[in-house]
Amino acid sequence: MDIRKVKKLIELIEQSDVAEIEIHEGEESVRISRHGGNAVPYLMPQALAPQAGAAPASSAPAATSAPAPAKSDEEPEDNLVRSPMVGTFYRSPSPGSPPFVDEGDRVKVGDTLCIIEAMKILNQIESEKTGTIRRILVENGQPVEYNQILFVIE
Amino acid sequence: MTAGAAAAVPPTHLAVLRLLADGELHSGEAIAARLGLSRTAVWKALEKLAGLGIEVATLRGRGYRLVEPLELLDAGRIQAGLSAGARARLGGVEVHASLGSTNSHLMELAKHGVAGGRVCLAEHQERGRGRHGRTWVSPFGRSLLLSVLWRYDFGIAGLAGLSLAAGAAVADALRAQGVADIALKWPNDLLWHGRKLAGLLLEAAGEAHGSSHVVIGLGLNLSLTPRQAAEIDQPWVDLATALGRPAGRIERNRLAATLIEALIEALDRFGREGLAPFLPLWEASDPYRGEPIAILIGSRTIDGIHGGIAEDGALRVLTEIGEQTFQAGEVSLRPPRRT
Repeated sequence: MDIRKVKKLIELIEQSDVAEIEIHEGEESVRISRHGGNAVPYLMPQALAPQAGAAPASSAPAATSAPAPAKSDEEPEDNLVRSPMVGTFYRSPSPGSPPFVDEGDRVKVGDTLCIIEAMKILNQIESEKTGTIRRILVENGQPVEYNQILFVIE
Repeated sequence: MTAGAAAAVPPTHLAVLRLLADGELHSGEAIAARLGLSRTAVWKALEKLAGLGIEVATLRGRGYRLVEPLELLDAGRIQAGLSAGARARLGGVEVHASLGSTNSHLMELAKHGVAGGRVCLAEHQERGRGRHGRTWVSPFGRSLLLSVLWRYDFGIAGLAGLSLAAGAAVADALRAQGVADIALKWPNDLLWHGRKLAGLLLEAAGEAHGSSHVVIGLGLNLSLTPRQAAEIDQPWVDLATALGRPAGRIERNRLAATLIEALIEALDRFGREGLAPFLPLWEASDPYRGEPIAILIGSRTIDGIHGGIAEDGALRVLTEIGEQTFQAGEVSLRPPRRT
């Protein structure tokens, strides 16, 4: 199969929420799979943000797009900071400036943890508890899904 | 985030500017005598003003005049231009000569409990910002730079549609001012003949589902010289060009009042009715539906056809694999890449 066709197929897969596709053309066939095994898509930093069908209408966001309940090891739900919206995750107020928080930092209620940009609104996500940032699960500039876990605070 | 503590434009420099604002010729002696300053102090003030982007012509042996007259912003005149309804919801108008950023200033005030309805304008921003870290070019007095703070009893998760509501309101207000071909690019860029005339940047904080506050920042190009605009990294236009009217004939205080009125009304209505009433307005200013667009998310670009706006304000894009909706990403009107 023409390598350009394969490239095109990969791009198509990337733009979709299809996990795997297999095409037969004459005697040739190609199978392209996005995730190895049973990866939990919303924990992968590369997970696509807006998906056909997965976009939460404001009416019932939780129902459509939270793929599964928390599974970040055995963290109690209380320690998790989840994204309240679909958007782009930023760790600092502007490129080049220091991040709001790093792993190991102490935070208190009301401290800004990150910015999630959605529809050109920069939403400052505030900590709802006092504690230590144990893990940061998303990389700067990556898309995040509704309800995706962003931080673990203990 | 360091918020805009008022940057230093000394009162004497502002006094010199107020004298020159009429665009007439003023001699150095006359300025010095009128303000009780030395000639050197006047000269220093002019130098500082030039540093802010104010173009002053020096006529050797005769004096100084502004290259273009300038109607300076005035809180009293702006408030007088608002309707009684808007004034009732207003939490005060601040006008600053120079500020870090009007948005940052109001976000900082909000943190300290300032009530909603506060409006902040600046003639010049030291750290004017566009979307994530981009600069918004804002030489002194050549733009309208204004921000409005609002408080809601619902959380930031409910704010998304406000971005489009504000865009629709500003587009409507500019059309009423005579900018016939104003167009919106999702979510809220204001274009004239494909060139950027104004932009909105919203910042929000609060609880996910409790209460929240939001600042809407508007930057509108009024009259930029090519030299001032050299830093702008995209096709741009200013209001003087869009109206076909010299910049000096734009009444900045009246225009500011009109835009503040539109934003306050939109903020208030969004709180009561959400995005729904704004969608027809938005669509009326959207000439790009059905056109090829590209949307950039993180490092990925997705090509498709602009398929209109979903109920929640998300962008609908018809791609090769069907319709997708986007809450985030940057739209470009450039034709899709050839692959």
